[in-house]
Amino acid sequence: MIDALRPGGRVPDMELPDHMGNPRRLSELAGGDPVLLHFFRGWFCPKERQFFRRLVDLQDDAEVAYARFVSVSVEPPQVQAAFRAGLDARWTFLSDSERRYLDAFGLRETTDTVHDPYVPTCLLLAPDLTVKTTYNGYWFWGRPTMDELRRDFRALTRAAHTDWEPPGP
Amino acid sequence: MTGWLALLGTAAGDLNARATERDRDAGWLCAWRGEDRPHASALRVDERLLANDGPACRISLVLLHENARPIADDPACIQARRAVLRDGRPGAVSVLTGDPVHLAGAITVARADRPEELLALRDDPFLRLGPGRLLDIGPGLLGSAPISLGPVVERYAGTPWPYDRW
Repeated sequence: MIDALRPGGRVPDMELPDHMGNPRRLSELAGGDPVLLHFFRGWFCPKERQFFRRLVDLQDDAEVAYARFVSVSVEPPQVQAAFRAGLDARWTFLSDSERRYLDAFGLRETTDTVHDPYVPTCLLLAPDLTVKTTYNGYWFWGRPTMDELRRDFRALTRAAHTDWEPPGP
Repeated sequence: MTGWLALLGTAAGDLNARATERDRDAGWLCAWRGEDRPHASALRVDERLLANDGPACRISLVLLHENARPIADDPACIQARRAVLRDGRPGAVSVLTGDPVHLAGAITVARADRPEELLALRDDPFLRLGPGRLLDIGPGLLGSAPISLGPVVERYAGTPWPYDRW
């Protein structure tokens, strides 16, 4: 993994097609909010499906708390669209089917020569794409729990908004 | 910058396009950019929908009567937004607001040459909030803006969702 993806680094502002085929840029998707940037192997992996079920449970909170999820895999948009619909996910999936960022980010999972996917990785980003926390999900227990994500989002939101403490009378 | 939209009998906006409903004249869809309300009937719209060079399109326009406008954060409004995020087909979408508290309606835009977008208009989630109309709009007013998938609540009171900047 490149240093830019470790805590304190800043993720390059990658541009990829979303699950509908629209070109999207990461900074545009962040839109001034904290972001969970989630690289995953693909629909075929049971560990990914288990982790996604947790994220789907969390998305209702994220949607009213000004936080974003972005999930990235090497699958083509139409596969992602079907997977996303089956999960009932409402956030953006980005397709790196050309594997443009796989080596650039140092996230190629070399032990899967069949699918040639991303190493499962979760990054918690500030609105300016600075990395707060990095979770290596190669082993399932390396992935963040939903409580850990809540703590990260709380810290990022507190840092992003000077009015975290409500103004007095 | 704020966008404003109104369906009027005359071309009174800075941008105007003829509106037809089932090939019958339905007036003019008029738009403005600016902070001040330009017309008594104008409602706020996400400014990213407005495009001088936009193509001909079909819209689902939901306009709620003043006495039947839900609060913007009403669960019914949030569920309609979630359905838009889940399905994600329209070329562009924005809620319409007339004041800082209530939802006044919504506009969903499908480009005339995109069958999948036109099909999605038949199941506009905002139709669950009130009656709507399918209108064909001439070029030069509305563009496409891939929806930003994020929070289902407004940034600031009265700012039309999905506008997503602080």
